[in-house]
Amino acid sequence: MLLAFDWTQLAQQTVIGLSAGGLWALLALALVLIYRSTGVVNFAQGEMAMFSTFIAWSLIHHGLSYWQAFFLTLAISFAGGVALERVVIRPVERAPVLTVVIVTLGLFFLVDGAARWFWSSETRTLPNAFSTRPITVAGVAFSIQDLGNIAVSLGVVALLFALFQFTKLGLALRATASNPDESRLVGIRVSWMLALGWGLAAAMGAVSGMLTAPALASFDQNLMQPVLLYAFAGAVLGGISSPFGAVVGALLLGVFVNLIGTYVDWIGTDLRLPVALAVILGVLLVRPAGLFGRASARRV
Amino acid sequence: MRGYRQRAVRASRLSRVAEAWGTLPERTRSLTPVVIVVALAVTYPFYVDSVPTNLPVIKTVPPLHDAVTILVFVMMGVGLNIVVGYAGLLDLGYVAFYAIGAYTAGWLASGQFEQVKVHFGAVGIPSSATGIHISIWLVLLIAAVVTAVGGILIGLPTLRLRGDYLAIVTLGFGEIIPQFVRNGDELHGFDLTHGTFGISPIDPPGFGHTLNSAIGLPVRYDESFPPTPDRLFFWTILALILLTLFCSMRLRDSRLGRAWIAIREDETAAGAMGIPLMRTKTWAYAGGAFFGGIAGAYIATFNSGAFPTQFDFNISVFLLCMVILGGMGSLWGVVVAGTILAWLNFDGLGNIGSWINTTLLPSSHQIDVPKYSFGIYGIIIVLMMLFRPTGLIPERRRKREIEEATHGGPLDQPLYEMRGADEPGAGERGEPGKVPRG
Repeated sequence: MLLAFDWTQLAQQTVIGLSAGGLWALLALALVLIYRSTGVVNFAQGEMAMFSTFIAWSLIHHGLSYWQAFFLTLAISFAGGVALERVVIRPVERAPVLTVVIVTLGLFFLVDGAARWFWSSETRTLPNAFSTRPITVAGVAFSIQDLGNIAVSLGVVALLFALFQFTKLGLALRATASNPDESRLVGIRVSWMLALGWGLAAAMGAVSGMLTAPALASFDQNLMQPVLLYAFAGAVLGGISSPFGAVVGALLLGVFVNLIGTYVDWIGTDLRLPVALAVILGVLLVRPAGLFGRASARRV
Repeated sequence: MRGYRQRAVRASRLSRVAEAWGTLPERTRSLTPVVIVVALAVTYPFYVDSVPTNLPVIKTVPPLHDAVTILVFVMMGVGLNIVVGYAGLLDLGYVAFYAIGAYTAGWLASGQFEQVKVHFGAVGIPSSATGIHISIWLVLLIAAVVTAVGGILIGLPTLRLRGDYLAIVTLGFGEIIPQFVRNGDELHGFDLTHGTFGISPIDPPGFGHTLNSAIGLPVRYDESFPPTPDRLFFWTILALILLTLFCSMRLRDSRLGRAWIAIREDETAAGAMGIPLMRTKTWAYAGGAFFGGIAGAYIATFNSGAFPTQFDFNISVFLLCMVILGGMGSLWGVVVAGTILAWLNFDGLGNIGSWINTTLLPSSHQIDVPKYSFGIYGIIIVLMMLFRPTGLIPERRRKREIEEATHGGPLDQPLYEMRGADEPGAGERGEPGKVPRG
């Protein structure tokens, strides 16, 4: 096997893995964003992204171009995320963690049901965001779509980083995440910051969904369920309390899962998800805080 | 005038009944509703066919065959209640236990393993049949033990995690198991699960010829007449549920059960009081898995097959929905909510949907209600959590917990309030509780 080792294939599969990992990274980042501000894992994140993707599909169906629909969907998703937080999450802000987690689980099914209500369950397709033409770099052929996905994912991550690090709003968001009570004392509207976090997370999920759908032959309401699990795995690998870790973790996981699926026969395409879950378990056993997370101590 | 008097007489009669009721011993009072419900349930097969099929909204009660499935799911709900309701561990992979139970029955009571020929107490199986054929009653017990061990194995690495991590990991297990079952038909050339086809047929329960001739118990459930197979399966699952409820109740009041509830209320405090956290939580997992395994094995023999499509992630959430709707930790709540939800799932939504379509909607705008079942469960979960987080029939202790946790106001209210800031003398030094006069 080693004799026939093909560096071209390795490079190609790594880029394909990075492309998938980039899309998982966006969803993972959305999870981390909400986790850091509210301490709750949002199980509905994937279904929210799926819903956004269906909105984009409708817009394109009504004659908009892909990129027009893309940015319009981002705005709608942001508003939708804020609205969801105001209506559903705010009433349980102070409730035990278990209650809030169960609410997000309920949202999972509610959003899924809503998507099945508005859009029939037949499969549909989304046009490609980028040309599918291959591009040759140093004798290795890559698809422009994969490279485009990586570029957009990293671009969104960079934008988000800039928002958090260099704006006053970002400072307020970070303050809210690290200490809500004291943030309120210095005049930050903590509750609205949480809603804003949900909006940002919804928009990021939308990007992930709108780039995931074109890569598939067709999609339906189950579009984001596997992506959500991969995003969980990526977030746990990188450390669910660290945004940087979530991105790196998801990218690493993308490459790892794709390579192991390519080179290990019996894993193939069927057992990639279990591999990701094995990664979750392994990480939680060996280093529960993840690669970049900090172990948290709680004072009682 | 006469109406009033009649009503007054009736009221006084009612109050006299209530008075007499009040003089009964506490034990009789609390047991009476239980006895009535059990009696209604046991006699269900005799009146189910005479219930009219044109009742408003619900149309009719579930036929016996569906009732068996409904009760199996109620049993799983009661099992999950041990994990989620008592110990407060959010388990999203309970379907894994159901699958392990069903496949254990598939392995130990069918012709799946053609290479061997093991017979032990199975009824009505020709002695030439290949495969393992063990008596279903024994298989139920073995499946329970195997699943409990499976629960411990899943629990050991995961139960160290905090609540939401646990949810992610159990969700993962719930997804891995069906994947494994689908792909387990060629493990180094060995067919363990028969892939997407599942294992079928699985032997039926029965009591064999000796008991049949001695006290008239049926030889084999599926060939029995009278009473019909569905009736036998119904009474058996009823007995299993009562057993589960009894065990569940005794467990709750035991030392272990009180430790579970202490962990649910405050894990840190429970640990500080000397409760071994890991061991106690693992026991909760094992206990929940035990009953899930019995239910899984039972439904496998009832359907005479175990198929990978049965073990969807949705089932886990459906069961969780029962526990939440009923009230976490509340046994009767889970039974009531479980019966309602399982009925909705198998018959109710279809019946209600067709009632809506025929009576409320014009023939041009028909809706397919069962198609939206999981959307409807989502609405139920969210609404319950927002407006009645303690469930339909709240457990007393759990209710207090929720009230204590949520007494704080919303985040935008001021954090500290200056009491009496505008009273005269406020802000001056003085003895606590006394406002100094100015």
